[in-house]
Amino acid sequence: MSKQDSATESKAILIVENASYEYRAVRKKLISRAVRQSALGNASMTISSGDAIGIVGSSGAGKTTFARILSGQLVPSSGVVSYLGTDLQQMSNENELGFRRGVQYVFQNPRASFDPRLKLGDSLLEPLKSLKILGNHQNIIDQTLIKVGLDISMIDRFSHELSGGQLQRMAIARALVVKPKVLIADEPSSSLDVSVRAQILNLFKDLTDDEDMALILIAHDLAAVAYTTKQIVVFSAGGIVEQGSVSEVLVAPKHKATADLIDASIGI
Amino acid sequence: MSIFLFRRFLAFLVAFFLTSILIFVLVRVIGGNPATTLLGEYSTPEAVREIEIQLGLDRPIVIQYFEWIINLCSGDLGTSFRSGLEVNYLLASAIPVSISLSIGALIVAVLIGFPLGIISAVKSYRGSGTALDFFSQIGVAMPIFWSGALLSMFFGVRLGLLPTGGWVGWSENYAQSLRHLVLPSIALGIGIGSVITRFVRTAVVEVMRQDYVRTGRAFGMSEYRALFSIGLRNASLPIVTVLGNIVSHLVGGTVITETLFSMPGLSRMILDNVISRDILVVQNLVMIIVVYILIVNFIVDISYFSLDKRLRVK
Amino acid sequence: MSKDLLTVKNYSVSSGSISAVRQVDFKVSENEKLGIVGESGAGKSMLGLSLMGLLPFGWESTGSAELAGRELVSMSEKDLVGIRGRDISMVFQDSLSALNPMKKIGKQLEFAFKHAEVSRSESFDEYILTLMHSLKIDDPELSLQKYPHQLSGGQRQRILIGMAVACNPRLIVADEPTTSVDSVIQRDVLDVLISNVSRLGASLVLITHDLAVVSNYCEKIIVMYAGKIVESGPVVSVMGNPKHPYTKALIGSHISLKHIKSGMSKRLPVIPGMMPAIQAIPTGCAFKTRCGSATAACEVQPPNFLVGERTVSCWHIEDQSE
Repeated sequence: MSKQDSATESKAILIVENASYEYRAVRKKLISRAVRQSALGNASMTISSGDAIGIVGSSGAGKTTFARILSGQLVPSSGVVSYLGTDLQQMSNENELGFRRGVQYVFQNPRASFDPRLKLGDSLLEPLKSLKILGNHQNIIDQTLIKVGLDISMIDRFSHELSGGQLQRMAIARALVVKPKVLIADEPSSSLDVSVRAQILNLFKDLTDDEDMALILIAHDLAAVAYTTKQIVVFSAGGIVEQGSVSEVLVAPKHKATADLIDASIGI
Repeated sequence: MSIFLFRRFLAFLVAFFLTSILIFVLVRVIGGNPATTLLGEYSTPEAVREIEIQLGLDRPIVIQYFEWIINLCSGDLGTSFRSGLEVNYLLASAIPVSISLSIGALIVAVLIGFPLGIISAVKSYRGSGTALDFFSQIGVAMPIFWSGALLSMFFGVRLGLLPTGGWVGWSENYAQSLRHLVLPSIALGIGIGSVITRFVRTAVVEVMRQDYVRTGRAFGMSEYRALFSIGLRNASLPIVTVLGNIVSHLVGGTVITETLFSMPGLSRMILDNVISRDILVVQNLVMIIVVYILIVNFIVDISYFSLDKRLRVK
Repeated sequence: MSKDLLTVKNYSVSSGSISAVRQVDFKVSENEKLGIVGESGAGKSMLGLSLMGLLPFGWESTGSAELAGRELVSMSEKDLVGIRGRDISMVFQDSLSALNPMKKIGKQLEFAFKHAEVSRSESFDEYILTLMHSLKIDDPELSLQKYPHQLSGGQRQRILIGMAVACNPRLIVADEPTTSVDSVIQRDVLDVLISNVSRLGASLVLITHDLAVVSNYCEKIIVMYAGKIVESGPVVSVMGNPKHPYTKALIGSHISLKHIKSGMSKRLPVIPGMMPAIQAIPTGCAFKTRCGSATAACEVQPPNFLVGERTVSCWHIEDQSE
């Protein structure tokens, strides 16, 4: 995120340069080129270890598209994403395994992200196996569960036996078991209740203390992001319009989209 | 609209050519040489050769295929080798029988299926709904040859009310035609009607559970008005899809029913020609059924279009 | 002192032995905006639906709920059909599923009008267009010709508000009207809702999980927990000086920009655990298992103590000041 690329290059984990994404819209006529619509235009970001970046913007601003490009779920129409100096598009199998370990994703709806037929312990074991993580898997899982504030006995339960908040912790644990270098969370608290939301945000806030990991938190709720992260990136109409430290952005917003978001965030 | 129709029509043509190639190849591969099939195992090579020339089987296979398609499209379905009669002539008496049976069965099925399906949906939480559900299960599970036999034993043999089989042409005596149609139509229609009942029930229950039904009611729509103006209309899309499939399956049921009630329809004609090993006629008749099913699906697509107005907006 | 429009007494919503709403009492005066706050499962949505007589199969309401002198609890379906839309109406939560996907917006609005037989001086179309204007919908003629999926979430939500206010109801129940839209649009939608409620001189029951929404748009607040009202009263006093431990905790765990700007890295206090499911509500005070000040006294359900203008259902109200 830092502007002095040269100084931070050694620490940079994930670099996005001028990423754009267009999707094919439905054809309107029988014989016509498919219309291309832009979802993201020329977005760049450098993510270094220890970063805690909040991505905000109204719906349709390109936040999720950007996050999916970061995590390799989408290939940008133009631009380059590189992980530890290697372009994602030109990765060897070995490097790709490293990337898949290194970048983990937490989704909005925890209930939809667990296989209801699996015990949660097995769901947590899955990434350890498929990403070929060495070490005592049971120990890793136990430690991670304690870290996210869950009881170790939860591994014998099924997803429907847990509340939304507990399950979101479980989803975070599943992302953390492989010790990622970058953790991306897309609206992780917006499907949760008020009292539980604070618990989850506190958990993310604790995770920002980890100097070996970068956290990317995406939300439409500016207050939630500002509370949790150190830096803020504002998306609007498919591009990055403003970025800076939380206090810079909140106290002296430069772009209208930022001002709108601050304005819309009604307090008690 | 026109683009939509044009695309559907293209799909129709593609399906027509693909199935025609499939049928043509299958008949050649599995059936072997149609001339040999026709004459039997112990025919002389000379006789086979003669038939081949007569039927045009000596020419390259690609030319045979296109000739077949061109003939089909121009309405020339060839001549039955055994009887020496034109297939068109035979079809002229068989098709009305099959269509009458199909329509009769569909009417019975719709008359059973829609009302029962709707009632069973409305009463889905109550005992009567469960009872209807139970009977529709039985209806689905009951084979035609069994329900048909029961029907003809009771109404035909025991009560003597209706004929148990055979056929009288519409032009001869339409009252008699109708009487002959009743039992086969019911036999075939019960099973299909039960399937429709179950689909209508599921589709209506699903729609009535939607939030927008509650919205309608929140603005003063009564429960029954909501059922008819929202429930049935929105449930019609899945129902039409199922109806399309049912009509395709109807063809299979017609074969059994026509045989059971000894009706001289299309299925009987195919069966006769299979038995007499007139494989080129069978090929033509199967193709007719394929075209029939394709047309039904085409109509389903179009009705989809007229039911779901959203498809017209872009 | 304005007249009472809705008077709810000893009101419960239950299915067999399970209760979603348990013996609540509250009033809504004419022209008043009441906010009902609670987490999911608190019973607030079932309360709203029950007032409309739109409970899911198997659920029923007991007790008393009088709307302008007419008892809603014992009202026949036929009479309910008569008052829905005209006397009481509802703004629903998820605008995409709450609108019929197969009908144009105009047709759906038309129904909301037609049924109520509004006496109108202007032509029907003019009336709709005036309404669309008050809903702040750009290009109303075009929007009326569209299907729900062609509109944005905010536009759809405003259309739902339009349907709710179409027949000048006296009471509008809005169930989480902004949870499906993002924060920038949320304010536009709420502004439209409030301005229309005021325009009609109607009363509003705003059901939400968001304390900030209630504190900015309502005059009175009810805080629900596990089917019970734990605290109720004027927004200013309840939000400014909460008495019930749950209200305190809920306000404490709310993140606002103000809070962040002032105390930056201060950690949010959280309520441990979660609300009990309605099948497993403990006896006595339902909040006791998560409450820091719970004592043996909490084994008995506390009554609604009156503190000034508000009610608080807790045995441990330390100070009695407003």
